[in-house]
Amino acid sequence: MKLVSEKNSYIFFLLPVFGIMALVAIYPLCYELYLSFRSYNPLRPWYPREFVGFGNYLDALSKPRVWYSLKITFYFIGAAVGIEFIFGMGIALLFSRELKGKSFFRTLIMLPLTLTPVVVGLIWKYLLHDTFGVVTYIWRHFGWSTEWYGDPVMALPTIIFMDVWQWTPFVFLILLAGLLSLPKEPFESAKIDGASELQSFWHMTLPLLKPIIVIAILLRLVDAIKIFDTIWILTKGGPGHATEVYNIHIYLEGFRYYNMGYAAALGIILLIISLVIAFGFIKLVKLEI
Amino acid sequence: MTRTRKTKKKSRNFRKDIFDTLCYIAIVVIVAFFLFPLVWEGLTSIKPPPLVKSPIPRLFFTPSLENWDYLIERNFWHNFKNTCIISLSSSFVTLLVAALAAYALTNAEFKGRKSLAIDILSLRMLPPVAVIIPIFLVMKSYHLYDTYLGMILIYTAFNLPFSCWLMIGFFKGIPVEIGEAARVDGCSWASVFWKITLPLSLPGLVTVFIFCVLFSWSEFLFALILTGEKTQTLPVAAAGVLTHYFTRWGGLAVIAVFVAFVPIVLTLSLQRNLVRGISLGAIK
Repeated sequence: MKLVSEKNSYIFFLLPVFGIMALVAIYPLCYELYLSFRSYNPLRPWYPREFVGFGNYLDALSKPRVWYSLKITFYFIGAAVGIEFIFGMGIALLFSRELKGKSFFRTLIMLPLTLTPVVVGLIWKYLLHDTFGVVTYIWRHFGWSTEWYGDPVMALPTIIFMDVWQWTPFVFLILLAGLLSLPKEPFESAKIDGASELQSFWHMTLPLLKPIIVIAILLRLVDAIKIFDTIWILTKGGPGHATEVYNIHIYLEGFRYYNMGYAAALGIILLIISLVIAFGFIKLVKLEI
Repeated sequence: MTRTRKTKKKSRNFRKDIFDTLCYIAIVVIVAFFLFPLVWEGLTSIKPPPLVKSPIPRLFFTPSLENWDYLIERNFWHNFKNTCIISLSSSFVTLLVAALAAYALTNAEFKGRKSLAIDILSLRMLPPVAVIIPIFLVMKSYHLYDTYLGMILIYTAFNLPFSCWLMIGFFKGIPVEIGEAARVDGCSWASVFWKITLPLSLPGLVTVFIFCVLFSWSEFLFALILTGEKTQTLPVAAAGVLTHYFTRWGGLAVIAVFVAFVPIVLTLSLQRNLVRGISLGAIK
């Protein structure tokens, strides 16, 4: 006799995925929740792992450093995704015309997207170096003198610039695929009726492309929240706290000061923020299965 | 009459030509913007070391491979081997587990099938930083810190949601009639999976596999907290170049080129399915 009927054998197909997710996602999450209500610092073993209630959370929400890091995180996300969208849209429109050798150029533009973020950080660290960076050199030629990631004011814009460099191709590729999949007829008839290019872009391309635009922007939002690698390479959150976005802040609290309980509470706060965005994503996209 | 039409057509052609030329100029500028840093870093890797730090950047020089000694000097082959072991094995495990789950999620009839698939996808949205503290502590307490097994587990979990989701898309592309016909002929539900669904979606499986390798190749944060001497991966080793008091910028360029090479080749091999992959299957 069979233990599970043939009809229900899908359970065996789902077991591995549940097993791994339980082990690597669910269990650590529960542990994090538990930890976030306790004070725990492995550097001070004599200090008991005692229950502090919402102490860690209240602590986090009362620190200006946390609010500051949240502020620059959202500033970074907004600026980077915004510029990437405008820039990516422009390039996609350029590439939606009939041009020879288009796919070759498209492949070249795609390359930054494929790079390991750590490598992107290393490349720009060299190119923007204030004594021998080639970009700094060219910049000086125009009579502008700037320090990039070493300057507290310029550091965050530099990070944004680097993100734009790497991820604009991503937005561009998705929008281009969307543009090429649009039906041709409405545009032809609009042209016959005398609509200008700008008019047909505003009243036809944008509305028709809306679902794709939403997907592109949300995917970028979700990924921009995850930023860590490039900032870690370029500034490690400095100079001062100029680029200490929320993720870097969590890492520093956890692995530099070893305030594990407190960092766990910060992690839970980040989870809540990103869950809100993820739910927004799923609601909006309504992907079909 | 015909003449005016001709000149009109001519002038329109002329305008179109000018516009096309402008487009090409714009495209060349854009390509230069995205490509220049890569090219420059590539050139730096073959510059003679004294020129790497010259305050006036040199475009012309006699190439030298002196910087490349750095790969041997810092024993990057060890890290290369680690990255290969971890990313390849975790990608294999991911592929198997994700294919099983995706098959059940596309073909089995049960309550909550749709919402389960979405739940799995939503895990992809979670920022890894949010869970580094518990993951680090759990891995430490189970002695999985600095082991291949620990890293493979993490990367498998990390790649699963995305892989499942893509695979569902690929499986749905297979006509249901084929599976139904096989079932009528006496195939069990499970053997349809091995004998029909998997072979038919082979190109899709390859795509998912390459994506998994790409992600685990580039992953930095978990590798940073979970690997030590023994299993340190390439990105962490590359980042380590900077922490030295005295950064070897030529060596840094070499390691950047070295780490970038595999993802570039892999992505170029994806071409057709790249957009589908990066948009989580939302655009086919």
